[in-house]
Amino acid sequence: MNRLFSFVLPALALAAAACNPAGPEPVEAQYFVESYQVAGQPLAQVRLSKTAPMNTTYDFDALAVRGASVQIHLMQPGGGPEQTFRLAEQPDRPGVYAPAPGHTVLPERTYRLEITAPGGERLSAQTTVPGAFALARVRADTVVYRGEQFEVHITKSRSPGRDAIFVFSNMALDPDPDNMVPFVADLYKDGDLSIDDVRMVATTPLNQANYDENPDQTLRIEMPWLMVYFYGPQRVTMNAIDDNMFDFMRSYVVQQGGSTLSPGEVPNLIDHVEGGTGVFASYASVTHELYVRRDR
Amino acid sequence: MRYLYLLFLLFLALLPAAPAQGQQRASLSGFVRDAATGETLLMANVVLVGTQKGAATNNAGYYSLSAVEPGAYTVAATYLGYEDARLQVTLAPGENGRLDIALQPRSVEVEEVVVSAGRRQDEEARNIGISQMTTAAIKQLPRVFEPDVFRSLQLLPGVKSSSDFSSGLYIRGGGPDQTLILLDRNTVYNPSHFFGFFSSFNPDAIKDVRLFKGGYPSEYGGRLGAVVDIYNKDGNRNQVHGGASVGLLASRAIIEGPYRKGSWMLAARRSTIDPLLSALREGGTESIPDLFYFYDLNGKVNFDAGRNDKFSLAGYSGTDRLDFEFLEDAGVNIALGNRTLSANWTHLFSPRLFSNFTFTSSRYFSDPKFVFSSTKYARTNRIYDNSAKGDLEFAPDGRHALKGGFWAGSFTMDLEDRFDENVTLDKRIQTTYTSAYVQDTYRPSSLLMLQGGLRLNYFSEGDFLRLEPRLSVEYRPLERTRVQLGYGRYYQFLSLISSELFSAFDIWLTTDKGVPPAFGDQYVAGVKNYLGRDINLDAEVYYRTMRDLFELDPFLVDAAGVEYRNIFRYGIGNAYGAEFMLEKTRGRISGFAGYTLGKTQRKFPNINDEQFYAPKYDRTHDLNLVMNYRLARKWRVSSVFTYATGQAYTEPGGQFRMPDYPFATDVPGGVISRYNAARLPAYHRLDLGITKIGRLFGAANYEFQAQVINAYNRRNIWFYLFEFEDDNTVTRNEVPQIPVPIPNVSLTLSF
Repeated sequence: MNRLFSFVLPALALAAAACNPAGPEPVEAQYFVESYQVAGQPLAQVRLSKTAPMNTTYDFDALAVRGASVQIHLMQPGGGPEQTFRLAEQPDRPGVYAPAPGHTVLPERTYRLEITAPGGERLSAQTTVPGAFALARVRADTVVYRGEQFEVHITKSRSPGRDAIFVFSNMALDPDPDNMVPFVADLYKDGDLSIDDVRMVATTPLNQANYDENPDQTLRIEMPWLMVYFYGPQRVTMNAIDDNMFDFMRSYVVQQGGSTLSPGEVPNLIDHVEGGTGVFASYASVTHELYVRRDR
Repeated sequence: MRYLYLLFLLFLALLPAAPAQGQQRASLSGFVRDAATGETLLMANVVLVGTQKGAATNNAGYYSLSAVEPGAYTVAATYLGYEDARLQVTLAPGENGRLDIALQPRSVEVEEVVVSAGRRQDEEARNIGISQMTTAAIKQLPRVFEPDVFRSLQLLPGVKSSSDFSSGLYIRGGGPDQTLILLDRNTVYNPSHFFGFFSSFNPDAIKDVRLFKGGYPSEYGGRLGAVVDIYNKDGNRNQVHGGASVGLLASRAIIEGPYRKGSWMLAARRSTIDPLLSALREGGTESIPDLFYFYDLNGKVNFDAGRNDKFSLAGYSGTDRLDFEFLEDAGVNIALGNRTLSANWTHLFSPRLFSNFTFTSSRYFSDPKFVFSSTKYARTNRIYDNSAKGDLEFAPDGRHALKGGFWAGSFTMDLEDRFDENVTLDKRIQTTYTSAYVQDTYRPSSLLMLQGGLRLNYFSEGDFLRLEPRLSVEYRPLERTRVQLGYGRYYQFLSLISSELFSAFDIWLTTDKGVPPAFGDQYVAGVKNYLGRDINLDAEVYYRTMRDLFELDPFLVDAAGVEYRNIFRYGIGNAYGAEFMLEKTRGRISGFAGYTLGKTQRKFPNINDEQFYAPKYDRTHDLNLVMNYRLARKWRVSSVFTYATGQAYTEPGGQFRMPDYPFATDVPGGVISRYNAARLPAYHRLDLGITKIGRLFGAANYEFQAQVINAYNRRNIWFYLFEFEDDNTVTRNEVPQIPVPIPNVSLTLSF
């Protein structure tokens, strides 16, 4: 019996080794849409491309979808199109479709994107622009790093059916390696980062409930030092995002590994593009320039 | 509460089942102990030779044989790893005989053991869905640095690990939170050290480890899948005994002994790499933690108040600490651990009515703190679980064995997150839970056994009352073959939010209004064969459903202001498979081969177009070969070979870039893929060990072990990382599991 024990089991192991399942089915290329409409800004362009296989070098021009029919409708509050804007492909920029100048994106209104690809495939998406908001006051225009934080008060932004969801970003206006704060400088010294990687830092979506509400109904926001990568001048932007941007960002964060999913488990984006994937989103924003001085 | 009362009435109604002729018949009961230490032995088998009368000891090591015809008998007692015992007893009409049995442990030095126990030796331990592992076996197996209870359990059929770095138990398609972990009847919420690498149970301090993989009986509840029931040693009742073990990562010590009214035991384990870390730091090596250690303490005191009353007090304390500044102005500080205390009273109302009452207190704490660029993040997580439980066992006659009991307690979870000194999450869950069960094991003949039970659960958070029926049948068509069927419904009111990478952030959340408990049904069938010559061949098939699974939504990026019920995602799942276990329990070669053919799937919103997918721990094939070979009288070699189908993972099938993305200055990229539709390369690994035992200067016994993990240098993949490069390509980086052969040596002394 010992002999049985010694020989049968390795044979079982080999048999099991022969039974590995096959690899996954291939994923077909999809249409990818990218467009961000900003309240109070001119109607923005739309990029249309196809996704690329993983083992290739990504080249937007090569993947651009040319000759598509692209239009954006400003929707009536009740439903149907109120106004239609046809977007033309830019002659020197394949896959980039731009509207004629003239229309400014209206806050709290809905825009619908409709695309007919050259092969007749139809894509569509819809965004409702968050309500515009404003900067009420700031505590100081210059702050000392690790001293009193930059504090800003903003009016509320309205979004249908929910409180506002914010994304805060900070762009260094003098992104010199000598101006890096210690944490970023330590990361940068290994050579894995480029200036572009760190010139702008942005939060993940944050709920309005994070912020204190003042008696005048404005929101008080303090910027953590984690949002400052460089000393010197910066441009701080507060953005109220729509549902599409929110879903895109929260699922993109998960793709990058920032969730409770096991490593190696990568979900697709949560998108709202019929007939393809991507993001057709909107936001409202306010900006303020700030100077961060070195601490001692 | 009305239902609990009805359940109690049902138990009472079953009590008068004792037949009138019981007055003329006799009974025999007692404890079965280790002759060397006096430790009670759980699931030891006691039979009256030449009759069909037999019983297994319970969780207190107590057995009871009822409705025995008066007369003279040979009592045979058997237990895995012990010499069989045969004792003579004569029972007079109506006598309630008491026979405490001491079994002599088998020496590891002896040559081939003569088989005399027969096939019933460990039948209870091999009942459907049950696996038992001795601490001696756990210590013999090759291991990564430290002998580990959970890593040893991971070798059993149906039990999987998520990686070489995790001691978490994935049993029959369920995640770690679907397994109830009990230490001396007390729930342990995060039983790990080294951020998940080891389980927190010191094998020196452990007496018995029993795993209910599925279809578990009604005396347990609260989890969808499985139960790990662990008991601390009582302490040596015959003499003071000590031991110490020095290993590469940690060292252990135990001392135990008797006193006039009982016994005591104290065991400690602590990591011992501090000097190494210190030397590396002083030598200028970068990325060395400023502080890192873990320790655990187990203690138990037994007090025998009388022949029928025994008290014990058992405690456990374990802590992990880490201080690590890994970058300029960036660091982590972590403290986490468990504390448990169990006070136990065992009382014999009569030889046929056994009772056990336990008061438990369990506390888990986890306080991770991070600082990045002068911005602090801190979490404070506390769990307090205090409970009382009672179990009654009654053997009215030779055919029925009744069990009933209750478990009531309060569960409190405090969770506070602070970001940049502001409280961003402050959640307190306080709930009471109550459960009660009745169970009858009916043996109408020596060939047939029926076991039915009901368990009623009440969970105050959400006001949920749930009834769980359990049923199992055993039929013995052949002398050496048992066929078993089992069914059970199970509810779970807790959900573990865990990161596989780092267990310090684990938190438990509960049901509430709008968050119903998860539930599932388990169907199990098995055939247990004793092939002779100490060889068992077992096969089990199982099918499980999982409904109303609630997990923290992975797409939740900010919980501030979000309704509690909306922080979860809700889904379903199922698992099915077949397990085979060929085991040789004694002899020069011993060990087992376990093979599982299994499948598990989940379905959640926003994942895989809401189609079923395989979670990472789904393995089609899983094979473990565990072998011990006695090379010579004082030499032993051991090996563990593991083969498993590669884990499910997501292989991106396409990529995109977002040149216009407004919140970054580089161009972010993403992927499209079929979720977990690909498989990593197959996992396999061989671990080898050699042990030398002997006597050191006549003063102590020693055991020297030398082992090598991953002996043939297999580079198993843990996961892939996909990086978007500046040149618009995507690089796939392999993150390996244990990537090189790892040697390990340890020296254990006992005196």
